[in-house]
Amino acid sequence: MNIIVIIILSTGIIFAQTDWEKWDKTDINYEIQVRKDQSSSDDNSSVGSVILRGLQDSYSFLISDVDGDNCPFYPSCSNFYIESIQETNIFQGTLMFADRFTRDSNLYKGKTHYPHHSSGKYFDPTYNYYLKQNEVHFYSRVKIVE
Amino acid sequence: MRKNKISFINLYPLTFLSLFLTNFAFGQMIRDDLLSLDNREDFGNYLFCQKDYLRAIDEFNFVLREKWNDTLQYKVGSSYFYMEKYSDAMNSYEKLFSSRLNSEEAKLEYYRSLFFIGDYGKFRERFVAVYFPKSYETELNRLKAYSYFMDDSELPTETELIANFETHDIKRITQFYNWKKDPPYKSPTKAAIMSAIIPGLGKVYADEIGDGITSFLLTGLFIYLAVDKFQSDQNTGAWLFTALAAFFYGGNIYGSAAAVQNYNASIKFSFDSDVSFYLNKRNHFLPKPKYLCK
Repeated sequence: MNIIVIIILSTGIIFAQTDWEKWDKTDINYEIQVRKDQSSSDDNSSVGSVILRGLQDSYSFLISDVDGDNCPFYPSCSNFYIESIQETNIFQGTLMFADRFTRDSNLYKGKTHYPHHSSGKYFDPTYNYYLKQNEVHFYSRVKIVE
Repeated sequence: MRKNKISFINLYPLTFLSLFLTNFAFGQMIRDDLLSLDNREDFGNYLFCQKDYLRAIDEFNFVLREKWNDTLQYKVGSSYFYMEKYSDAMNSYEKLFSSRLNSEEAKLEYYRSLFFIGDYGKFRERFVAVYFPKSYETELNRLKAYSYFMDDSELPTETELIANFETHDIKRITQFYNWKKDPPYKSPTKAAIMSAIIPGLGKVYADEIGDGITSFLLTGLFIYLAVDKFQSDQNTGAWLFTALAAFFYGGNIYGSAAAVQNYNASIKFSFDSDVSFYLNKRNHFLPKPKYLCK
């Protein structure tokens, strides 16, 4: 009987050894991961574009990366603003952003209110807000936009 | 005894060689038979019924190079049609226009394929062509009338459009006609003016009630804060809140116009979906394609 108990105990101890690995110290990487859509590499090197990119990168570094990826939309509000200005002008782009910011503040966004993007966010592209009726594209709410 | 055994063993290579050669000879005969035109036609038909259209076309074309067959040519057209290669289907059906057997069916399928390409203007233009199938004139005229709902061309009169439809279709067709003639679109300018008077009202007009309330609250809050700061002679804060109020006020006017455009796109999408759904439900107002698999 004693021998059996010893065998069981020793077996448990031997196998338990393998479990120790997961309690070992691991090296944690504290480097902030720059997301692809936040990269500041841009071919457009005009002064306005550089300032805009600088502002976006600062926002990403100081707020977004700390606060987390909270924007419910794709593209995110900051990317929406950049894209709006690039596609229209600073004045129209700012108005588009003000509207997006208001829509983002609306707490009653229904699940079928916006199409769903594959990233799990609401898909809200800039081209639906250029005030050009022919460019507005309505997406089915039952399909996921890639 | 030993001698007999040896002679039996010596027979082995000869027997093996005979069997080996016989196998080759018969094997060749079977292969010839396997690739006969009849077999390839049968195999093509099998592939066609198994919906393996690409390989079926290869088999049919091989047979057609050797001997002409109307039904096979028709099946080539149908294979392309089912693979949604409508231009190729039309080319295949075109070869049957002067044939004795399937000419009218091929012409009907030609027009069906032309409709599926989606160039409805071109589809309607071809109604004066010499090869227009007279046997299916009524059916195709229904499809022609319906095609006006599929693009932005000028509508004919209501009487002209519904003339060819059956009684149970007329109610729905009239609804589509009325929608198309006078779409219930809303005006972006009207929405912008409404939002300029009362922030958020244009959004409510565009069926965006939540956004409208948010616009009203945000703009109202910053206007109130700006006025309050001006009354307290805190000019820096006052101008800051004025700028924020202007930002949301401008955004709400712009956004109302954009929201109406999105609303218009949504009801157009809904109309197009209804039109396509009804068209599929009624099988394009055409007889079903000839059943080719038995």
